[in-house]
Amino acid sequence: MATQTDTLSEQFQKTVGDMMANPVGFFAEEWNKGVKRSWNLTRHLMGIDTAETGVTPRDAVWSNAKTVLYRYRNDDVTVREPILLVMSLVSRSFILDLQPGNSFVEHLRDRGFDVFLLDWGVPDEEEAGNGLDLYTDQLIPAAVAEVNRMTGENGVNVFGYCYGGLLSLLYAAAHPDDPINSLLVMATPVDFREMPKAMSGVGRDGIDPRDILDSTGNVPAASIRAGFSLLTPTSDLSTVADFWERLDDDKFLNSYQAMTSWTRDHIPFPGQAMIESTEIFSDGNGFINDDLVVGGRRRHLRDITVPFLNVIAERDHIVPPASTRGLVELVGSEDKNEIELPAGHVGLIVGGGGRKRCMPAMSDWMLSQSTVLED
Amino acid sequence: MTQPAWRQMYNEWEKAVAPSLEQLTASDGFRDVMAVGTQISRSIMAETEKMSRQWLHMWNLPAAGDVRSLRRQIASLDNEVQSLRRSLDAANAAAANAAEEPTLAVVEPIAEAN
Repeated sequence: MATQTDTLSEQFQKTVGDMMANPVGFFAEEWNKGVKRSWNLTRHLMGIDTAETGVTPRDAVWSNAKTVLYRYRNDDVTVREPILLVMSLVSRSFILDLQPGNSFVEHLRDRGFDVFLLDWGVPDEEEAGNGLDLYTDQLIPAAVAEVNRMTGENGVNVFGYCYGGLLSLLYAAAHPDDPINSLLVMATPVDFREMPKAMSGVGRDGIDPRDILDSTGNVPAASIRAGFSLLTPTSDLSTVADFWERLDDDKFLNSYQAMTSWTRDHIPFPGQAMIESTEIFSDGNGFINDDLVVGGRRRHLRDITVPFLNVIAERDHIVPPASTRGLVELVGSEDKNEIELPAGHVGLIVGGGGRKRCMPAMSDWMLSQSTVLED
Repeated sequence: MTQPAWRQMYNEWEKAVAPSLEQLTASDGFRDVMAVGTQISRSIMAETEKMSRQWLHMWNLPAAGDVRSLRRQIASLDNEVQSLRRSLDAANAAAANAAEEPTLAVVEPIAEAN
């Protein structure tokens, strides 16, 4: 308490000092700040001029029900093998293309890749019966085949993020003859004993997954968001504090709007996939115990033989490093590697650290596995 | 740039409170409470839906659950059709490739000039 009083006292003395030294300048600056804050607050609450997300030009090139395959426009493709980004089932895909200058897709495009994104859409009752096999044995293989066909049959670099990484692993393990050039998974949960307790509450020893399905047969988006909030219960309040503190900073407000539009906008999780995930991973720890039966088909990570990279985020509080470390030992590839990058779950692909260190580390590896075309 | 006093106070409060809250939400007790709460809310929802469905069926009207069930069946059929279409495409492509492969034939040697 003494520390807080001291802080307040120091702040007060500093403010009075500034005011006495240059009263006109002090009040002018405070007035300007006040006007700016009021305007930015109004703008934010009224939804005026809000940050745009996912704006890199792209075309929908294939679809199946709500699943859409996008191809990002790039007139300067210099890498022969394209990249297919496989998104998670719980969040929106625009996190991979957040904002101009802060976009993983843009980074890959600028390095010469032909970039494709597999977006699952927003599930409703039509997707409630989608099991994991639909994603790993039908949709991803069809998307890979389509990307391969469109880009000259050279093989595809598959990139899976978070739960998308888990799907990519299940897919690659069951389809070793598919045209996969390399496989990179990032922040992918593997050892479910190491997952945060607040997230592993669903399962044999806790909540029955069937109890969290809503009337559409899916896990509602609000429950998914609540699950993430439970990991760091004060984070929402801290976000509001950040917002209030830096309300006069236009650049901050723009990034804040883009980021919160993603963190607060989860999508429902298909019910059947949730039930299967709970049985296979939360209860059975299928990757670690080599007990993966999906859609009646047994698969083994050792059957993955393509060049492989596992990317771990050092400060990941959603998929802690311990829950994904060691994956590289389970896959059968000869050319395989595991890297830990100094970032959080999202910081790998967003923000200054992501741009400077993480994105280049991942694209460098994918370039090393691909063929750079001569001019 | 130093943070305003209120923010510094908040940070200190958060530093003190966050670990205990995180511990609480990760505890077995919290999970048990959540499990019971989820079951109760699930059964209330199911009971309410059952009553409204019975009432609507009494008037020969479809309930939302009936429509959802139909949509699910259509989606399942659609997935099956798409899957069959992909298998058919793959089989056709394989057949076309097989037809394009050169067949063995007796080729007479070309007489060398001179």
